Amino acid sequence: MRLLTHNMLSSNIKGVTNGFPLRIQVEKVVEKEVEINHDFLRNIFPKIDWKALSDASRIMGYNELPEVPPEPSVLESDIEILRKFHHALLELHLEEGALLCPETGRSFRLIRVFRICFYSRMRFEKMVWCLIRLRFGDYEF
Amino acid sequence: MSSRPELQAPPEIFYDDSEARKYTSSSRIAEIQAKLSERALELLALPDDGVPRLLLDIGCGSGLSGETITENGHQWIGLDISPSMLNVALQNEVEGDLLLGDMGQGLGLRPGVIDGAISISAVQWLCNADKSSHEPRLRLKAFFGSLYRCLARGARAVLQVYPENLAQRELILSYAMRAGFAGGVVVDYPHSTKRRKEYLVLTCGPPSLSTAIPSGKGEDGESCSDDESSGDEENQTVSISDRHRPRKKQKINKRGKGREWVLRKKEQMRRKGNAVPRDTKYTARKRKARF
Repeated sequence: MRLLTHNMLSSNIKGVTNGFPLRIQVEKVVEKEVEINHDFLRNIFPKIDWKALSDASRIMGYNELPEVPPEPSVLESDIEILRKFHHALLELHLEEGALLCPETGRSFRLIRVFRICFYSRMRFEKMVWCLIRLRFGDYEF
Repeated sequence: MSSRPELQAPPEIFYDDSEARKYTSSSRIAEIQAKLSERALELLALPDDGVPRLLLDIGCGSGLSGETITENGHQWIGLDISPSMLNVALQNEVEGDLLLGDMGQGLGLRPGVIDGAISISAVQWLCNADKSSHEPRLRLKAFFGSLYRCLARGARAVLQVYPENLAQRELILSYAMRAGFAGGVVVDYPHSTKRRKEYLVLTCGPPSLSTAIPSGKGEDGESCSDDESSGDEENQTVSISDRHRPRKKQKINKRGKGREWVLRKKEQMRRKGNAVPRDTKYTARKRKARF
């Protein structure tokens, strides 16, 4: 799961007033190379919650992102900051771990295990949902 | 087995591993889904400036529609209720991140972050109550409400649906309108039973010139005929089910019921055991109109 998605997710548990941002419990992080697109970054920048992004990237092990969000005008010219933004947003992948609702502490797991322990954790009625990111080739069974 | 899949089982059970495999390996289905996704993206009318957008794919399933989004250069987040289908999507290594969840419980996204949403053949599943705790109306309300919130201003949602009947179509539309969406339905090839496809095109924010709903394909008569050798001609009109059938007018009998009828009825009631006044010369006598 990329930090782009994490930045958009909010806990939808009933009764929670502010379910954003979900706290990240890291177990495994993978870095994948993605082609950079400056237009996309400039376009998505106003929608991103910068504090959540920089905190999350620090938890994932990437400390290059500045804590203070850059001005939109800076983004137009500074390629270096766009590079860092791109890396944190799209190239860091949380392969294994969990996301925790900030108010209730309920955890949404990112599961790698194929099916088996999955149903015991799924309780649709209580509106718990999980993020799945399975990598088929990496698992022996 | 020609009944609708929605009537057989809830989606997370209907789309189990074997069904998911069948669905994805069928080239015909893949082709249809690709076409539907292309058309949905077209209806989404994203600005043609080459800037990739962040889209939401509701009911993404095995990622067939998501692949179309990636081909068009956009980023996406997919949501689906069936783990087996998502499994297939992961095996296909789709570009978007996948969420497992029930759209009828709310999407769980921050307000105003999504630039557009598409859904291919998924929203009609909301109209069936699969569990006793489900109520289709509440689910529709939760879905459309959360969708409206998470879309950015001026963004569109294009939902390709297969409603079972007119009532379902109206139900879905009414809840969409209630959530605050403006828009309408685009029907492609309305006269062809096989190729007829319906798209709900919903816009966030006040209606303006840019939110004019495009016309469906095949309406101006061109290329409307079926090329398939099914033999079923395309002259089928859309059937509209009448909710209010004209009631038969009650016959008003001007003759009225005479003395004989009254006496007969009184006898019947006596036989039944009711208390009935005795028959006199006054029984069923004609009264003044004012009476």
